[in-house]
Amino acid sequence: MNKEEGAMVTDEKLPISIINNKAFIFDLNVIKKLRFLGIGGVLSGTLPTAPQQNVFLGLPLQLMIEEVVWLVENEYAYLVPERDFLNDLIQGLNNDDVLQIQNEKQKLMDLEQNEKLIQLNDKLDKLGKNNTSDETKLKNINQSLSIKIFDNSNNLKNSEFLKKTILQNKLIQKNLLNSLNYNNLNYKIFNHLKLKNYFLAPGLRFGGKFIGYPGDPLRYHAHLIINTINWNQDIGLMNIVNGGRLATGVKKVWLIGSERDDDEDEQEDEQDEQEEKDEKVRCFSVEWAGFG
Amino acid sequence: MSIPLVDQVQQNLLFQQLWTQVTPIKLSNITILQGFPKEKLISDDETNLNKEFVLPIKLKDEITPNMLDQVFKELQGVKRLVLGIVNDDGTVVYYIVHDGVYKPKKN
Repeated sequence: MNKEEGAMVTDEKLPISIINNKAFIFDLNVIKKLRFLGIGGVLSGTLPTAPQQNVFLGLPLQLMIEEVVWLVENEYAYLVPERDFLNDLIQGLNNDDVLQIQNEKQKLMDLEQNEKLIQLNDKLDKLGKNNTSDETKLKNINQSLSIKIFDNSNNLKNSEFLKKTILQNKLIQKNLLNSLNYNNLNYKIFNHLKLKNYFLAPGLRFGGKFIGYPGDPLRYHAHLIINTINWNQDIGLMNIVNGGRLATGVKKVWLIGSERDDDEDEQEDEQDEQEEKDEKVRCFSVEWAGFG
Repeated sequence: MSIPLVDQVQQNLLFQQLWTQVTPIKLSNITILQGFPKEKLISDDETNLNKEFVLPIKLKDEITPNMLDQVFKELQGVKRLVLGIVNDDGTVVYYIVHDGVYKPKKN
């Protein structure tokens, strides 16, 4: 990622829609920005007329839970809750809230109204027929004024009320993130490899948790088939044989990602918290020895 | 009548894989083998022939990240380990375990 692209990405936080505990992106521009952050996701949309379609999928993009957690923890994105949450929110509105929402709406209407008035005046001036008062014009404009309904969560951030109550509300963002029920070890390994500039994708294709690319998957072949295993959990020698042989056959390594148990390294000096967390991650790479 | 695990892997290395100078070393919990392979284990290796370390283990045994970490800790500075996996039918297979995230070799 070059610096300009990076700057473009960090300008403002990107919306991730949480629907039925899955994470989706509905905006192509957001997908582009995520790509520069090394977040690929999986396109999952079909054409309405071809619900069984399984190639050439389109919007929305579905993200892995680990990608979502990484984006939120690194403050690149915020979560947009689904309809039930908003319904609950509406039930709990008080008068001040309603007033604020109404004010905002009125402001938008006024803005549009003024714009239309200026346009109309310009037009009439050009025709030399500008002889009615602004008031009567406004009346006519108001009749034709439409309320825009956005079909895209990217516009939620324009609402001061939603910004305050959901998008910038740390507690709600945290709860939304926790509602995804992510596996901590999986995320630690994801984060560890992301710090090493790997681009991660879902691993089912090769029977792992993730696949690791040394850069954008459109430019590179994968290097890693990534598995996550607890510190004292049996890796399974048969898994090592299966995974190692497959990985070597397709020019990859079969990676074991794990994390040291807490109680073991308490004697270690206190370090930067983030760094310390990542230092507990321990990886091993398996490949076939070439004989036997 | 069965032959001890370490001896079986040692003999397989010597007489089937044609390794040389294969000798056991005792670590705190386990015995592993060291020796020199017939050819370079990894073609990208800069030096000609490296001393390799082989951890003999039965297919049915458990192996955890913690155990691998212990072995690497005791073999200070060693970057890779070979698992010599022994089945009860006489086959021995070998898998390399690298310490950390390893870039796959080019061939």
